[in-house]
Amino acid sequence: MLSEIRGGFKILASEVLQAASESRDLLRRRDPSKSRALDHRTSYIATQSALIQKQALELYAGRPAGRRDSIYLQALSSVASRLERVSELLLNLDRQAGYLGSIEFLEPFRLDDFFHEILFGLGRIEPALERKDLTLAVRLGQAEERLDGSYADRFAKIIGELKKGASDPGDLVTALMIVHYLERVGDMLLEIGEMIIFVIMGERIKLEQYKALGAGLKATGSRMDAGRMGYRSIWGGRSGCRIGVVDAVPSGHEGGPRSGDGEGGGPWPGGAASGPDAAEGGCGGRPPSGLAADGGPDGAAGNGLPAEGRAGNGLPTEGRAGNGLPPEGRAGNCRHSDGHGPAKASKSPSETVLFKHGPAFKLTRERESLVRWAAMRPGLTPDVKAFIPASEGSEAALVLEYIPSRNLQALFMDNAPDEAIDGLDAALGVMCGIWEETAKDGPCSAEFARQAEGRLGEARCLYPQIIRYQGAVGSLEVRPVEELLPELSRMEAESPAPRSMLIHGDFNLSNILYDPASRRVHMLDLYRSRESDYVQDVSVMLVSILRLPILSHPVRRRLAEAARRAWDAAARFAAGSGDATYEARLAFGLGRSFLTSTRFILDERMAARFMARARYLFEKLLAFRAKGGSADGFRLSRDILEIQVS
Amino acid sequence: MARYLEALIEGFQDRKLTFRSQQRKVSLEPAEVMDMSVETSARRGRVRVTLSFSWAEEEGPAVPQLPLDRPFPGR
Repeated sequence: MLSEIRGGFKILASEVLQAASESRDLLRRRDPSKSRALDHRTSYIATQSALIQKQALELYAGRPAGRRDSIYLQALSSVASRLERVSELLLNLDRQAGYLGSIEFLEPFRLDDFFHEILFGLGRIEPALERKDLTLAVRLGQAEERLDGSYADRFAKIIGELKKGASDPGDLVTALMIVHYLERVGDMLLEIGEMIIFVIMGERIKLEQYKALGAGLKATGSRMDAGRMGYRSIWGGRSGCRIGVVDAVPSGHEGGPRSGDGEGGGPWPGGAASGPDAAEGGCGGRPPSGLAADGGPDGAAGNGLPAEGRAGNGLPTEGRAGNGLPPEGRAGNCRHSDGHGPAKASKSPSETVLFKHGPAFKLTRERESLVRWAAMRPGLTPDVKAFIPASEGSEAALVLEYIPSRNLQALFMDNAPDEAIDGLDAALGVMCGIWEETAKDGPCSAEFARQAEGRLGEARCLYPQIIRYQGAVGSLEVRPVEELLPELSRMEAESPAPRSMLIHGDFNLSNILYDPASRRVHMLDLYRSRESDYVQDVSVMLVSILRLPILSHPVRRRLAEAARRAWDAAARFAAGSGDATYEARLAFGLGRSFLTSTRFILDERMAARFMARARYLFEKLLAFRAKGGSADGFRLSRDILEIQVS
Repeated sequence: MARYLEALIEGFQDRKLTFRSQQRKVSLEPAEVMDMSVETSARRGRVRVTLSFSWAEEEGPAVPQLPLDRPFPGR
């Protein structure tokens, strides 16, 4: 069955390549019979694509999701679907051309530049997938960049003509549609390239992230070698950052299969000498003559199909070491089966690092905080190995020391509450020390009510009936909680914290690592660290404990104990520092965290209970104020932590 | 919590209990004589007190049910 699918895929890829060649010809010269042929080919491609997707799904069914063969089938199906989309776009080109007064109108737009890239890319998909050739996969992404560049150029030209009051605006708009479709083909090539990277690395990673990873590893003195490098994504974060654990190969280390594509070995586009463009002898760079083999821009004759093992066509042949990849299946050994440890690729010396890719402003702030915290408490936070600022767009990358400990949330979830509570005690001790050490006299406010207003959007989407709940019991009106926030905000401004301190900013269980053997604690994700009210850290921690979806009664009891210990530790700190308005601010902070945490809770009844806690705290604060109470007289019972779990 | 109980007491005294949840509204007219039961339970560290009031009325249209199966948000 698999060989049948592969055969079918090869036919599909060649058909789409042929369709691209025909589409290009039709944009040079109209020919109704060729238009019909393209139409028929597109229908055939749709059928072939559907068949491959169906067969791949049948074969995939029942296989474990992460296995290499499962990934291959998944990718094959996705690539087939995108190739079908490419053929539809190509057909659209011909249909759009039908609206032109004359096909010669397109000549100044040099559409061959687009087809040069498209034919190059389409001709490499099947070999890249079958040979798991990372260089070719990356090159598909570069084709997209070049197509984007061509599109931007033609777009500016067309808009310029329209602004000048061109006599043929209709034809100009049609030309714009045509270059737009060509640009969309580039998007498909990029997505296909990323699917091939998925097959090779076993992880979903975007090309931009792959490039940043290459640049980050280079900056740490390691290099990208996908064949011997392990990469394991860490899912589930909500920061908007992509995070992966990487087993990098130190530069200069040799051994294992080497590539034939340049001395740097890795097909990484981050500036290494071995980048695709340096790999001219193999498969990178602009299409060598005859590569597209379609009688196309380079004038070579041929049938439009990349021939297997064909000499002189720039394609890696079967016998070529080519891509530095190990034999099929070896990459499957890259991961610890328990999913906790770092990715391991081979016995060669390696360094495990944490790779983060995401919004530049977040990663810039995180880096600054990490540097500050490291100066204050060496070893408490991971070392910054490298920072790659955003070169284009708004995404940056950070390479950090990998700390192979588990976080407190994982310890609780894995039924190790004793270790988790030890770690929590240690973390609270560290934080109390940092708060005290960095305290500065002068009022400051965490502005919890404003934070709640700013973060209600997601919770409102998830549970509109809870967030916007309103009702009445007799004459007692139950107002929607969001209506209480402006008044709470005013009240909060009247009772600021007496001192500001350096806070973690996202002090929750998942951001604390603990090694029970050494009893060492580490802290992560410091991009929100700032000078503020320490009650922010206290309330975030308390609610992060309460919201863990653990139903086991004994573990739940230990969780409640953990929450009480955190409560008591913070209360002792507040008392020790003479913080008279602590309890009132804690009510604001807890109310905010109960309210906004509903967006993390999938159980609706639990979300309603969290909401009820937030309402209780907010109404209590407002009632206290209505009676003329002063913030230092506000009292909060620890019972607020006792929450029923479904 | 006391505020909600006080609102209930007021309703019983006036022989008119009204509840509104979102757009749905229920009005009840408690009888002068009614049954009341109190149940308490404690299980797995959770204590529950259930107060129940019931009274008879002439059979008429069914009283609409409020969806109060989930914890009332005004705890």
